[in-house]
Amino acid sequence: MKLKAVITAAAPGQRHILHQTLATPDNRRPTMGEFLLELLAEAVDEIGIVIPSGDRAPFEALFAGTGRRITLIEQLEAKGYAHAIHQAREFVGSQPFLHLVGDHFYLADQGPISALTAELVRLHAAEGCSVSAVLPTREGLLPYFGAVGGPALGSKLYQVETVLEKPTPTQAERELVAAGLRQGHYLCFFGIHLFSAGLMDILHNHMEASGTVPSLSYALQLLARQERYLATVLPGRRFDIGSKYGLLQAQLALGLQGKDREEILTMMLELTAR
Amino acid sequence: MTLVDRIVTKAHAPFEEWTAGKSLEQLLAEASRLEAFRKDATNLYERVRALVFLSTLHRFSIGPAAAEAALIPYRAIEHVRSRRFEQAIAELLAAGIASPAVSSALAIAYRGLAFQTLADQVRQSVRRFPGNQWMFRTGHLADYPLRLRSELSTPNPFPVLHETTPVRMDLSHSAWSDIFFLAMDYPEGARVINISVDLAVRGTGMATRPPVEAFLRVIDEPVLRLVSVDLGAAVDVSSLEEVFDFARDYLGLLKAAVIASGLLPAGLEGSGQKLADVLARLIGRDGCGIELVSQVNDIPKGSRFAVSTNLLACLISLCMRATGQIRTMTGPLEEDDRRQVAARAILGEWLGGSGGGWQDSGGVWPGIKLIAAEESGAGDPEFGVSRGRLLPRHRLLDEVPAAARRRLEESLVLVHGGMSQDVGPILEMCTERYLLRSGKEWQGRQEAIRLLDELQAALREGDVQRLAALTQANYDGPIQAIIPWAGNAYTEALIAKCQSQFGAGFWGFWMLGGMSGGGMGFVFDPAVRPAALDAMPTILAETKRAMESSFPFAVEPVVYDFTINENGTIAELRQGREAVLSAPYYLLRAPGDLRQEARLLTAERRSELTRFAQRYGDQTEALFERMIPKEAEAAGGAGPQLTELLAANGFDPAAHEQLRADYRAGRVGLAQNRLPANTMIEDVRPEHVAVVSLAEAPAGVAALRAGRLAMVTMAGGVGSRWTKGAGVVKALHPFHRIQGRYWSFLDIQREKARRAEVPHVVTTSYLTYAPIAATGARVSAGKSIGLRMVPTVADLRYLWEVLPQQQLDAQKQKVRESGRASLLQWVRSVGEASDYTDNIASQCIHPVGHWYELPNLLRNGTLAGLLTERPELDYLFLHNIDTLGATPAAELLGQHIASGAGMTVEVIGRQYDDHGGGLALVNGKPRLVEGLCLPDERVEFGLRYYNTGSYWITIDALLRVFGLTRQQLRDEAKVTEAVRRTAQRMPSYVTIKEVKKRWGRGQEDVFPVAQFERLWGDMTAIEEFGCRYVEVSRQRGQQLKDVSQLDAWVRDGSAAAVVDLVTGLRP
Repeated sequence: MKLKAVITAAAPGQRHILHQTLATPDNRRPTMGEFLLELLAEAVDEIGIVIPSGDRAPFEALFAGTGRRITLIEQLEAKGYAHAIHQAREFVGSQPFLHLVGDHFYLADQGPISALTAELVRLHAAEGCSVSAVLPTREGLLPYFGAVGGPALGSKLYQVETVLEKPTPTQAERELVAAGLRQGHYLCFFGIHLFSAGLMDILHNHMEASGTVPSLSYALQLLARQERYLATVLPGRRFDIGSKYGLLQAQLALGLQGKDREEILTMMLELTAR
Repeated sequence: MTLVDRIVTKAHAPFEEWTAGKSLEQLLAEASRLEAFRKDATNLYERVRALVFLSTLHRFSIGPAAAEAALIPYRAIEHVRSRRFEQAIAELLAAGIASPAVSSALAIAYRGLAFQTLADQVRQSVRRFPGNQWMFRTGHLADYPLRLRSELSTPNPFPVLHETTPVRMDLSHSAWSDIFFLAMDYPEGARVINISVDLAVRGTGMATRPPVEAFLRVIDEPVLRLVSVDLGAAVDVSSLEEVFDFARDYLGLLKAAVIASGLLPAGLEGSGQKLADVLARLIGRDGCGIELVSQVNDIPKGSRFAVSTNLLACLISLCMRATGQIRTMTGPLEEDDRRQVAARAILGEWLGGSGGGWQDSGGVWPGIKLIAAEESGAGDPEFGVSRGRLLPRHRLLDEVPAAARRRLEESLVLVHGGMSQDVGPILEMCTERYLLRSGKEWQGRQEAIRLLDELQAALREGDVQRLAALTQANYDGPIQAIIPWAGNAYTEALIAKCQSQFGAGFWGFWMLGGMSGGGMGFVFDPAVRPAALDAMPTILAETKRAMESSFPFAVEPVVYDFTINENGTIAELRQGREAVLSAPYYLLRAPGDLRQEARLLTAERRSELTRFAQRYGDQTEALFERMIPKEAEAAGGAGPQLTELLAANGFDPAAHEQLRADYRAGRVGLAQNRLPANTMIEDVRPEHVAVVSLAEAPAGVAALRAGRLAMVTMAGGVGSRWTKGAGVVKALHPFHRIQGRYWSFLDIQREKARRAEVPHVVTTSYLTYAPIAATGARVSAGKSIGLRMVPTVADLRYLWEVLPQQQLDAQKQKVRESGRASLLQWVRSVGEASDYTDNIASQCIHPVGHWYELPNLLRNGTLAGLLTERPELDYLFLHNIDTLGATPAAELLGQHIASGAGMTVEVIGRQYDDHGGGLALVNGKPRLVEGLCLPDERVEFGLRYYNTGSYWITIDALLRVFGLTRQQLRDEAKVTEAVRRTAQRMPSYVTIKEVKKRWGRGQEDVFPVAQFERLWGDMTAIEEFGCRYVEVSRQRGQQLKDVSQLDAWVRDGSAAAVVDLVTGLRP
């Protein structure tokens, strides 16, 4: 069975990110949106993209001609990340779904990037539960990511017990211990998740009961308490395009991974030497 | 069972029992076994216990039993000085010789290693505490992981985060069981009941409130602004180096909080990062900074409420809230966060070079709680290293009913007795005795543990009368059994007065913290308490007045109002028009702003002044007061009182100016004290030193009976080492309890003279004359006085960089060096060799050395008077006030008479702690040399004999040296001229002493000052005087210079010997 995927691209600072182009070694200039579709590849057959209210036209133009089944979901009020996901509740129905943040760019260490998603889907099929991709991240970057903690189940697999959004290293040391990581490194979200429908229920129930939107990390913390929730380290890298010089970093990494590596290094050296 | 077996089996058997009756060979064999054991031991506490056993064996058993005369190898001394204890031990053991000197050095090295090992372990545990580790890894801006909460970085105006914290008072600490080392080795015995309280000084009209508070906000300048409102200090820190420079100003505690809270983590030290960049990353705005303000509300230092630890915890909690390390920005803390704050406070104390026990941050928790150590388990950083965890568990005693809490408030009178003392030596003594399981002390510990259970029950039942009886029993029993110096004569006097004035209405005394004399509790029947509250200020003031020359009082005593604080530390956010700090803050800071033109102020400052005016309109008058310069304050320092004192004590301004010129020009100075380079200095040979023999005792007895001897006790000094420059009359300090009564040094010396039936004269100086004369002792008034000077930079550098110094623990050494840099800055700013006048008058002047104390007897007519009363008087026994074993012994007097010498000097075999010269052959002639005139310390440690400062003097020989006869002693002009002439033959030394300057609420600064002194030992260089030397026992010859010597003085039997002397058990 193929899955549905939800990409969030509705945050005020993110509305142009999917339109952003990056140069590739074959001198194509695909957009970030295209990269994300490539990442999803065969794993999904239908993609829901949560976009800012009133932005439908540019997004339709962006995905026209991709040949993928894409549903644009407008977030009518900017009420945060968890709320954006919740907007896709009807779209996903009661099925598990893949979720990608729209402001990250991904590279696999080897092979096509769709292998990253495929691994997540494989794990989900094997374990029958929610799985988040994580990346061991040094503590200096904690202010930018959500992070999880819990016991190791294998060399790259963890049972999630604690989820904290942008924790301080003080909290991380106390609550996000995970075996097998270098000192000062924590399992931060990679930006790709495969959630069970339980997450949508948690979000929905909370909003119904309190009238407020919980943070996604809070909802995931509840998810970890209610059902089995795993995290896995994928063989790839992620770049936060929304952060300062995130785009530059992504472009450099992409370039250095291809045939023009020497040329780019020379370019950088020239710039540095000036 | 060997000592090693005891360690391995964790047997609680007194160490002293094992050593009793052992031969030197047995002791040495055990020392070898312990040495081998401690090297292989993997368990930290087994290693430490073995080290303390070894230290004690050498100090009290092997040293006294060893007969060899081997000296301490100088390399070993250098190793100890540099804290290379392992190398020192290896060096000392390599010789394979047991001598008292070598054992004294081994004792020091083993002890040093034991405490260093323990301190390292605590430091390591603090660093490894989860939540603290990252701070030591963050070494680059890119790694800096904290962000200020967004609520705080929104301008116009920037909100103010405000934290208030109560202080803690302990009902019982189960005999200092919260010392980290103890609690980590004996967790089952480590329990404290501790209560968070709000305070107000009674009579100020203020309601009780949390005694410490702190504020944090963003400011529109890229600096770290640190302000201590109560110390009146503020600084804009613009570099990271300055943040890590603790002793540079009065803001060390705030800096420690900034670092320990992770705001500027420890890893950034020396990283080369820019403070402004770190602040920009933290705040998320360029060009902005942080202001951190601390405020202690009217609580004097030495309060025993752990004010500084709780202030540190308050600041740390505030900074952690601001950076999201604590979940809740406002309100009370959750348990996990309290523990984290407590762990950071321990770290902060270590950074600042201070430290107490784990109960000190108790104010972070609310109300009444039982704090108990916990055994470490798998997963704890301490597991496998120590039995206990670093941090204890706090349990709120909710079972104590509200009525009981109220009753406690209605019965207890809290006071600050006025004394501010360093509790550090007591904590070390306590640790050592615990590790030795010394009999009486171990029983005391068990008793204290039992009392805590009873106290808990009394609290539960609300039986405050029982509770008071228990705290009194705790003080009278275990506390003083373990550390007699936790009590003192002042406290006893206060208790006695409460008993006599209130009878059965006084329920008991309650010692707070580590020792008495500062913060203390007196529990009364609630019906009597109002009267007691009214009477207490008078009782305190009168008792203090009667004892102030003999105790180091730092402040006037005060009585507090108090209430139990049921919140613990708590925070609030002040926004919009409410975004202001406290009124005292503005009284400190606003004058500076108001003196500037408004256009020069930043927009934030201008708007803040408006908010201040709106919020604190009633403070305008106080602000105006602050801005008017005060004439009296402007004059500053000692002023007219000093001029009068100098005039009254024969100060010679012309000679002083000459000295200043010489000092400034570098003609005199520490380096110039040394003997010329071509002087030959060697150790004496056996024929130069006599041994004590009873052969001449009958002649001595006859001379004593014939009234031919008088005893002269030198008491002109103020015991700078005893009270660290506090300027009290050491002679009158009641330091030891004998048969239920406190005895002063003078009491002991007078009693010995009385028992020997010899006339007794006490020589004094301007500082000690009146208080000693008031005791009824026969005093000889000082006739000479000097005015202290600010030292030269060259001398301070010589003292700190050239002369050998004991290095401190790494962090303490860092703080010391930072403090020294500030002192050099102080010297430059006030002027080298200028008069030191910025203190109370008595701290600005100094006695000009003990050489003058005997000539003063000539000048002030005391000797003439004695000779008139007793024409048969031929000899004087001159000694220091603190040579407690010195007696007018017949055998020594007999030997002196038989030798025909002008002066016999008592010397003892040198041990590690004996610094400051000794007996030497100088150019082939035996004489005493002062340490400060030896070319280097290596020479000093090559001299086997140390001067005790006790001299037998033939009066006629002395007078011959001065060119006088007995008859001429009545001719004042002749005597004055003779003294002046002889003084000119004596070298004058520059010495650097430390003086305390007190200010604010019991705050103290210590300054180095230069003074010029002539010393009596140089009389031995006068050939015609005819000096000889006799070696006496250590018990007779040792001097008590430092409070930290007291413990060993009791344990090596010296105290018991003195008790025998003054109670008649020994002739």
